[in-house]
Amino acid sequence: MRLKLDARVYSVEAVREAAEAFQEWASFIVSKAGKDIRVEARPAGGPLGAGFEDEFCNYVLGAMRS
Amino acid sequence: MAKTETFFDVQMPLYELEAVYLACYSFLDRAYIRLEGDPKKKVRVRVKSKEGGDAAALAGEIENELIHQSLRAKTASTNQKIREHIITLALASAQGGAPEPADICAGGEAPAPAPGGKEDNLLDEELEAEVDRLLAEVEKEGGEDPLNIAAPWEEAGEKTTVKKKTSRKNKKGKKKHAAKA
Repeated sequence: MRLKLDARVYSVEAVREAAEAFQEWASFIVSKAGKDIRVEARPAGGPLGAGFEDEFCNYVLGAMRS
Repeated sequence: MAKTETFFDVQMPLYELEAVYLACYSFLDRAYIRLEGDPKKKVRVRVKSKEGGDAAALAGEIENELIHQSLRAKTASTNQKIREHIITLALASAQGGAPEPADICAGGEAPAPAPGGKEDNLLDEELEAEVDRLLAEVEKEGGEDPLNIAAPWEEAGEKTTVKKKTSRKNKKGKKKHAAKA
């Protein structure tokens, strides 16, 4: 799974926090390129579910609050 | 059939980004939300409903929540000074003695000059006077402290137990009888 998040509204810290929370299901590479935060997820076991990306984004948004 | 995905734009000078986060946060259990855009100009909120609900209706609810959160943030910032003052007074009175204005600043630092100058100082003085008046009123109304709540834990000791209270009442009763006699 490859994902781009807008770095102007999301912080890298929040994305890393989400990656840490989801590391049971995938391993993550988080990088910043210009206005984007790029996330690359490689499944740890079986394939990632359909809602994985959306759940991940929701988690990042939740982490922004803290 | 109702759409499960939609988006709306938030004009940023009108709302704070923090309010957008808070509004979206309260809908994370009902929708998948993604943000994008420039926080200084316009932020786009993409809403995807969970379990096939109507995304447009959810977006409307989020927009309402955004107004609510924005107002809440504004009220909080307006009342910040009075809240800090009340807490300072409460902490100082718990330690014993009313605080001097210099004590209010942490670490004995000189108070920062008010941005609004004279008007802000006047407002501060008015707020302080109002808080002092309210505290005096509370003290006047409930100054007796029959349950000995104001006493520190160590001092209160066993005085607060039911047994002691009844015995104190009995003593008072005995005194009254003795006075009458």
